[in-house]
This record gives sequence, structure tokens and C-alpha cells, in this order.
Amino acid sequence: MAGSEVTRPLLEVENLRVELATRSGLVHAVDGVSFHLEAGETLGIVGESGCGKTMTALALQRMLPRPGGRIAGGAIRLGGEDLLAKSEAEMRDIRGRDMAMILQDPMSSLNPVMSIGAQVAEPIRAHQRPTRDGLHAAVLRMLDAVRIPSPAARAGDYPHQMSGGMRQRVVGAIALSCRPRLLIADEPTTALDVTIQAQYLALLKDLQRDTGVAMILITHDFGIVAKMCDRVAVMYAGRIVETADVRTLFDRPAHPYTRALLEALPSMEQRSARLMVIDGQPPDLRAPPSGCRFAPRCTLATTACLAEYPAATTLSPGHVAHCIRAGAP
Amino acid sequence: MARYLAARILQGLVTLLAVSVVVFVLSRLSGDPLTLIMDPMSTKADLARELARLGLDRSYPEQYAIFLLNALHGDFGQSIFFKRGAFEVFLEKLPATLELGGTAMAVSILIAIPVGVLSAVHQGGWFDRIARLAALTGQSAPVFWIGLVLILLFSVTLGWLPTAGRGSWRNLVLPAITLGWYGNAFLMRITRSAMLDVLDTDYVKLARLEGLAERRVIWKHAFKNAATSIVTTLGLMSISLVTGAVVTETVFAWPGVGRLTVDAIFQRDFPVVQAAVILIAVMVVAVNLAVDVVYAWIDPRVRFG
Ligand SMILES: Nc1ncnc2c1ncn2[C@@H]1O[C@H](COP(=O)(O)OP(=O)(O)O)[C@@H](O)[C@H]1O
Ligand SMILES: [Mg+2]
Repeated sequence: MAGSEVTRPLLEVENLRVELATRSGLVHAVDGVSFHLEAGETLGIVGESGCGKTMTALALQRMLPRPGGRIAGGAIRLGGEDLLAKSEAEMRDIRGRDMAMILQDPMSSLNPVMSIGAQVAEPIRAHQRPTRDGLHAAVLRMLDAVRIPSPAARAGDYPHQMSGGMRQRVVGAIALSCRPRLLIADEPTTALDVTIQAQYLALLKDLQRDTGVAMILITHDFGIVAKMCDRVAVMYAGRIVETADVRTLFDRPAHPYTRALLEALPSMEQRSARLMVIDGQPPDLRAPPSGCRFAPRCTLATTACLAEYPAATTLSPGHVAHCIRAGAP
Repeated sequence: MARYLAARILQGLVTLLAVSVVVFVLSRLSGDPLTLIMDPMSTKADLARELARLGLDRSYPEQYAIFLLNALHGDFGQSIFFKRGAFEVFLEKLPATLELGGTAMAVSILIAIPVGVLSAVHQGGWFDRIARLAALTGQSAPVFWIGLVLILLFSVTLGWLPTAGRGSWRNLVLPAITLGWYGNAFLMRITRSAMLDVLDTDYVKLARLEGLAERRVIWKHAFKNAATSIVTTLGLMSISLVTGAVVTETVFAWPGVGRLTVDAIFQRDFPVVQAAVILIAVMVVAVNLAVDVVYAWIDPRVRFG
């Protein structure tokens, strides 16, 4: 047992399925997603908006929207422990302590009537039973770690007194305050100015180096992936269509969707034009197509693509694509 | 903060000034009080003397200025009916109304706010459904009707509680419920919808993602934000309590300022009517000022704005 734990990944997700019951029908937001994450590693999850990235992230925390959201199948193991078998009380202990999250919009992520110091203190208080002085010191240490200038003076400030970039740093301080092993950042810089984006990503990178936290970085920006990630999972319509380490993915993208995304990658100057443009619309996740989900938009699609969902093709160790043409010359 | 408060105080003063003008104009429009006071056999000379004594022979602006100045000193003239100072008469009846209004308000706060919060937290559940139904009846039934139904049920049929008057707590129960009913329903609905809005925000989601206990998420993170709307509602409720008190005190023969005002109107006791309307306005303005202070205390965006 001890021997196997050494080699075991920090996070293992197998065949995860998420369903959202809505008025207009059952949305298969995540439909058989598998990936893993080593300790200290950064995995990018990339894909167009609406493909299930956020729902995947929330499912890991067992925090799907209620009512309506549920994990319909699969397995999630953190440090070898089956998260789907945990009680809600056990999950509360894990959230914030073992895994933490940064949401997309810093303008709405912080409580407007609580000082930022008090907000950073919340998870520490919940998970660590600190003394008064110890808590205060820990809060200032975290604010300092995310490079809030003169933390002692700013701890009493309220969110509305800070810029978006500063607020997102506070969110980072909250997330890392209990030294989690896993940080999930869901488009953490999408709402920030371009210059602030770069600063924030550099900060995340430094924090990761200092704490050894593993990171899932959700984005639709390949520029960010190139800068931040070790490996990438490309998601389309509730599924991961290709996984590879960053170099391989940029050098030898195997799935037509990945290639289309890379071709649509805006140049550095146009980065603020955020949307990636590929002709056509992603499928309706209430009734996803049975074959390859990208086939209707794929320039290379044949009738064979519509028959059934393509099995995984391993192109090289760690490089997997779900396309019937992958690996073919 | 200081500027915010100064603005609110100024607003309150302007409101009171407007009320005083309206009261003054109405009192001069609605018939000649002398016809009530004077002996029908009195002569023209008597009349003129009396007009001069009451200052009614001066110009309207002059009369208003004197009226205002006197009011600032607590002098609203002599009650025609009680033959005593109108201010004094009002003060005598005030404790009864404060007792009734305070009880109604306290009961509303203690019941409606927790019920509203629980309804929001268990949105769509059985508790929520029952609470919303109760609120609906509370908001659609007129105050006097609720009072009469309560009297019929608890006093006439069951004989548990007295129908009228003031004395022990048993006298207080039915009027307080009657007066609090509408505000209760209103406050519960506002609390519920404010909580639903807040529970849907990213910062509440983040609080849950931090692994905080649900109780802390609801009260410390969500409720404190919803409280801004709730506190504002309390200010509005203080106004509805005034109108409610007039009806409730009449139905239950409760010896407070609401009933005093109604009686004074029928007796054409203008000094008392003027005193009551202006002093009630003062109280409403004071309550709303207190609400503004609490609001600023809760919401740092107001405090530092
Ligand atoms: N609260 C919700 N209720 C119902 N459906 C939702 C909700 N949030 C997202 N969805 C649907 O789930 C799918 C996946 O959404 P999401 O995970 O947010 O995508 P992404 O983060 O990749 O943009 C989308 O089709 C979206 O319409
Ligand atoms: Mg998303």
C-alpha cells in the first residue's frame, strides 16, 4: 500500500460525468472525462466557452449548482481517497484545506461587507483552530505572499477600495491560506487587463514554486497555457479530445479541434480579443451527437466520424487523442 | 460617513418642514375653528378679539412663522377638546403607542427575518411554501379585517383575550399581532428575496468552496449582505406601522396617539391634529435616520463612499 502511494498521482479523475437538470432538459455538461495530475504539476484545461470546464472544476469539489447539478458517474480520487464516497461534512473539511479555487471574476468573488483581512482569515479559522495572534500573523503573511503592499495597513480595507487585480490577489491569498495540495483556477485572469494578467500569472507561478501546489488552470487562451502549464487537456462538448504535454501539443497537435484552436490563436497584440473563432457552434449538450462531437464542424470529417465516438489513440507516451485519423499519416 | 449622515439629516429636516407646511395649509383650509370654539351668541367684536388673541388676523406667512416657532418649542396650542396643551395631550398617549408599535416591530423582526432566511435557504421546500402562503395572506388582508377576525376568534368565540383596552400583556397580544401582521409578511418576503439574491453570488459560492460551515456561510457571509435591504425595509415598516396604528388602535380601543388623532379629527381639535401629525412625522424621520446609520454601519461602501 505504502509503495503504491508513492507513485500514485495527486488527483485521478476517471470517466467523470456531470448532469444538470434544467427546465429545457438534462444537460450532459461533462460526459466521460478522465485525467490525472501529479503533485506540483500544472494541467491546463482548454476549450471554447460552454464545453464543461467550469462544471468539471466544480464537480471535483462536489460543488455543482444546486438544485439540478449532480455527478452522474465516474470516480474522483485525491491523494488516493475516493471523494465521491465522502460525506458532505468530510468534503467541507477537504474544501479550502486540501483543494482550493480561484473564480473568474474578482469583482464578484469577494464579500463586499467583510474586510479583506477577515476574508483571508475565514478558511484558516475553519480548518486550523489558530490563536488570535496566530491568525492575525497568518493573514498578514498571506497578504504579503500575494504581494499586497503594506499588508498590515491594507488588511482592514474592503474589496470596493481595491482594483480588480488586487482583489484577485486577495482571492489567491484566500485559496492558498491553508496550503492546499491542489489549486483550481477557473479563468483567473480573463476579467483582468492584459498587463495585470501577466503580473498575476507570474505571481501564481511564484506561489506554486514556493508552496509546491498542483494546479488545474482553466483557460481558453493558449498563450497562457504555453506560459504556465506542464500538460494540457483540450476539452470539447463535455469531453477531453486530446491530452499531451505542452510542447508536444503545440508541436504536433493531433486532433483537428486542437489544431483549429491553435490556428485561431490571436497574436499577442490581439490577446484582449478573447474569443477564439472556429466556424460553427458547439453541439447542444442536451443531446450530444453520438459520433465524434467535433465532426459537424470538422473540415476533415468523413461518414466514419459520425458512426461512434472515436476511441483513444496513444500517439506517444502521455499524448492521447480521440480522432479516427490520429496517428494516421 | 459624515457627509452621508449630514445629507440624511438635511433630508429629514426638509421632510419635516414640508410636513409642517402641509399641516398648516390644511388646518387653515378645512373650516374655521372659531365656529367650534365660540359661543353662537357672541358679537362681531368678541369674534375680532378672539381672532386677534389666536393670531388669526395676521397674514398667512406670519401665521405660519409663528406656528413653526411655537412648534419648535413644543407649543402646538391648546387642545380645544381637552383644554390643555396639545403637546402634553400627545405625550400622554405616546407610551401606549410605543408599547404597541415596539412590540409589533420586535415580533416582526424576531419572526419574519429568521423565517425569510430559512425560506431562502430551503427554497421550494415545504417550509418555504408554507411561509410564502402565510406572507401572501398577510399582505393581501387589510389591517382592520385581521383585527376583527382575531377579536372574533380569540375574544368572542374562545374568550381567551380581551377585545379592547390597555392593561396587562393580555391586552397587548391581539393588537400587536394585528399591527405586526402586514409588516411581518412584507419583511419576510424582502428577507427571502434578498437572501436568494445573495446566496446566488460568487462570494457565497467561494465561502462554500473554502469549506466554511453552512451556518457561517448563511449568517456571516450571506445574511450580512442581505441585511442592507432588510434594514431599509425596517424604515419603510415604521411608516406602515403609523398608518397601521391608527386603524389598530381604533379597532382595539387602544389609548394611543393613533386613536387620539382620529378622535381629534372628528372633534375638529386642530391643535391636537397638528401636534400629532408633526410629531409622528418626527418619529418616522428619526427611525429612518437610525436606519441610515445602521445601513452605513453594515455596508462599508456607504461608510467610506
Ligand atoms: N447553472 C447551470 N445550470 C444549467 N446549465 C448550466 C449551468 N451552468 C452551465 N451550464 C451548462 O453546462 C454546460 C457547461 O458549462 P460550463 O462548465 O460552465 O462551461 P465552460 O466553463 O467550459 O465555459 C454549458 O452547456 C452550460 O450551458
Ligand atoms: Mg467557465
